[in-house]
Amino acid sequence: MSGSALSVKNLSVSYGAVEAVENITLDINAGESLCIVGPNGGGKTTFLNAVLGFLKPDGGEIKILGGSIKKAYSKISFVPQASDVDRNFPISVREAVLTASLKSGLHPFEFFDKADCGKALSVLKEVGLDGYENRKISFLSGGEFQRLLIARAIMGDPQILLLDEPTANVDLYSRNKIFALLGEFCRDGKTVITVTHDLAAAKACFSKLAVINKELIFFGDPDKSGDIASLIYGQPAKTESGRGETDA
Amino acid sequence: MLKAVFQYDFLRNALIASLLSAVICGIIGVITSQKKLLMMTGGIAHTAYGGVGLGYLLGFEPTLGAGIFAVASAFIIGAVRKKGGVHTDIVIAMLWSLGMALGIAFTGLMPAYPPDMNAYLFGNILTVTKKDLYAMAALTAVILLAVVMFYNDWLAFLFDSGFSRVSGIKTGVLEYLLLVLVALSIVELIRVVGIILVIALLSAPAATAAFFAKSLKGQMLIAGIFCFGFCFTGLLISYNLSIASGAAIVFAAAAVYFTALLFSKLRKNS
Repeated sequence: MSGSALSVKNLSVSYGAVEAVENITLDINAGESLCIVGPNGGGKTTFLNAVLGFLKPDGGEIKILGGSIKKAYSKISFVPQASDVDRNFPISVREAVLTASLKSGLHPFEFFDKADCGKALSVLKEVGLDGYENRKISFLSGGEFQRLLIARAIMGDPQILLLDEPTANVDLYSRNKIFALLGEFCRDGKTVITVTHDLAAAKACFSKLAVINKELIFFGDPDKSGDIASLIYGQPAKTESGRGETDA
Repeated sequence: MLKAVFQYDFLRNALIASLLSAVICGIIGVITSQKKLLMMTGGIAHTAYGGVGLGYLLGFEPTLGAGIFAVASAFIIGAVRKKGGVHTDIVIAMLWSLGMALGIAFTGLMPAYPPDMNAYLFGNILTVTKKDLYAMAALTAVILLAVVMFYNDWLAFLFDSGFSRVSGIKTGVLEYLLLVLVALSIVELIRVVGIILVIALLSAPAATAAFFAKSLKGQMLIAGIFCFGFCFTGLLISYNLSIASGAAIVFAAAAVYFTALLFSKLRKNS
């Protein structure tokens, strides 16, 4: 698969008078994986929320698969921060995954069928949660819950998967499992865009790296970024092709 | 009391009203508590008081006035939530007090204070008429249909509205539909427990059911059963001790909720 998966031009987003993201431009092709890192409050989640259409940009343009965000909704999926989802909600693991089988619009008198249930079991197996399908989500560990959110996201066969800190508060086993899953997803020619604080993973598991601290500090091959921590925490910027420029 | 139910129409009506309220509380109570909209529910209920006052002043059915005010305030709150920029709780607080102020002002303009105004404020399930029951049954049917028809959409929306939006589910439509359903539920429950106590009947059964439920459907069913239990117990207390039925229903609801909460804490600590 080729062609542009995500194209962002001169994106700016603010909350009232506070500028959260300034003039960001980057492009990701289908089959690539992008890792977005930056300090707390640096605008990573704001950037992701703008891409998802949750926030209205002040300026700039976002294209997903060559079109508008709303047109792309059937082709993308999203893994929110685990803390943004109510883990005490009365729902089983199977039902939680099945909610992703609902597509555009509303679904009057449409109930989950056998094919949906079969697919839910298969994605649960893919993320290592087979046997958990009847468990209430409140009984899952942090890592299991995060994998459930990924299972739900891949249930609808998205071409682009966007994730907000998928490895926050999970143990090493779950962290490795999650990055391995994302790697497999990309090998199928699909695109992954992840916000994370995991700098080691940013270097090792992704084909592109974006360092954001309001503006784009670095964008390019993670191997050419040098020390990511110094990029994030205010040291002189090391960029592959100059501060604020991209190699794309 | 059971013998009296067959003897007296007002008790039979009260029991049927309890059953219809149980359906509403089971469904809408659970949805509003899962969406953490209970304070908004209180705001809509109190705004409805302005409509009751206007109904009395202009000589039309006060419940209709309550319905119009409730739906209008639901749409205002919905628009503010969607648009952002202003804290929703401030707007809820403003509408809450504005509705009450309008109700007081409208009734103040009348030559005499309406005799059954307290029934709208504190409810009186014992005064529910056959006409009220038909209206309650129609509203219950509308609410039940709207929830059953889109059950899976509600499930996805309540569990994670952001994800549902990205999936392409029309979350905006669901949000406004929910606000209208909440407004209709409030209008229905005003006859049972009144504007001031309606929030208890929407929150207590749902919150108590949450201790036992394993699924959303299960929580709705258990909350409905609890709600009927609270109304029935309240009726018993009211009938035997001659205290206001709305207050008696809330006493029953609060007692069971706090007992369940206590047991849940004790079980966790043991």
